[in-house]
Amino acid sequence: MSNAQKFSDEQLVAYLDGESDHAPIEEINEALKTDAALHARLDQITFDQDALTASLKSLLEQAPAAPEIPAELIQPQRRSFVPALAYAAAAALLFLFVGFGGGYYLAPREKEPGWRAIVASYQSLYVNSTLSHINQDDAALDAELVRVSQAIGRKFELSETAGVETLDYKRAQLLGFRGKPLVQLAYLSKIGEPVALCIIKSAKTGTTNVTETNLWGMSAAHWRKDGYAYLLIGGTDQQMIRSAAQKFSETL
Amino acid sequence: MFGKKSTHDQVTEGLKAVYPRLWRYCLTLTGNADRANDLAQSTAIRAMEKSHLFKADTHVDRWLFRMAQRIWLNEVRSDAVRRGGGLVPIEDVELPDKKPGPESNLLTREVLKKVMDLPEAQRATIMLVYVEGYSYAEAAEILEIPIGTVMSRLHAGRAKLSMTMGKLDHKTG
Repeated sequence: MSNAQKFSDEQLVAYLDGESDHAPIEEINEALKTDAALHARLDQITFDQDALTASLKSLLEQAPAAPEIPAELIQPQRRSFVPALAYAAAAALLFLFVGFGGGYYLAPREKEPGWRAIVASYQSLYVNSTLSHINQDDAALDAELVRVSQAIGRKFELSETAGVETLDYKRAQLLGFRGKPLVQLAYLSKIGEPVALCIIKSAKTGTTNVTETNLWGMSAAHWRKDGYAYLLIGGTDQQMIRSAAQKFSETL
Repeated sequence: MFGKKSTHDQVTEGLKAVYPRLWRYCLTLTGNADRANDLAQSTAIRAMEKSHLFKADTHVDRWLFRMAQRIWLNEVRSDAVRRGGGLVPIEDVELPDKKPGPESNLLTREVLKKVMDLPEAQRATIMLVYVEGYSYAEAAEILEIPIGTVMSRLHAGRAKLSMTMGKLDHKTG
């Protein structure tokens, strides 16, 4: 009688792969001495594994380099050598003996993601059809801008917000980040990718140059001007984002 | 401080070293170079965000592959389908001509095509075991499935590759 059906498909795979915990290697070797049907079953699942690994190896050379991760996305890890609870207990004791200040500063604190990281995560949910149906007239767009201008304390003109040729201006929305108003101006690029220009009041004064980055796989650029921080983000056309950010940084 | 690398450093260093392999795996999951870039990048960002959860001195490569697999299944894949583009056939993938000659690229594309013709679950398992070299137990851990499922996927995948590729590599236990 043939042994062919004595072994399961999974056992035969494990046999070929040398996974001895999952196949009765010796028994199969023994059966193979006399069982042609078993040979046939093995033959049906044999392929040129070396060709597979060798040809896909070249893909490694074509892979992009690991991205630089924006610092605001990185949360400091808890210190592994002292359990967090021990930290909390130590902080509580210090609170009792040396007062609030010492306990507060010694307790472990986790940095939360910054506003750019949160905006990027939100923007990643946008698709073309989030915005493609929006067609407001100038009066409606103006009214929106008056509303968001009042909330954030700086005036936006339609000629400025809709002044970049490569971006089709759609709407202005008021969002909030940790209690602070955040204005989102939404656009569609020429190829229909959603792009947003977000503005939030900054505690830092002064002006910074446009810095390009990539967040959540999207092209982005950020800068600061006159007490406000700006982030332009969306799509994958870095060149378009760069030139649009440059224009906005000059006109807004 | 104690002469031991923090988990953050371990993840940062591991990410750099594993990234080409991770990207290749993402390419075979997504079938599209742009989407592979997105998936690998999302995995990198998620890994840095979660680096405090990485168990020190364990295998960062498996941790990253598992993360990519989860993001693909839970986020990117559904988005790819929703956007209507679906999964782009591998023939359309632009493989940049770098060091290897055109013939080598052609061969890579042919083999990729055969791999991409496999159903997704079989493809991921075949990649992890036969290309990345993970054991059954390791692949099961990455894919978060039982070892028996790894084995049955490998059987089905092997049977298909046996028909489309040559049969040179007949190993015995």
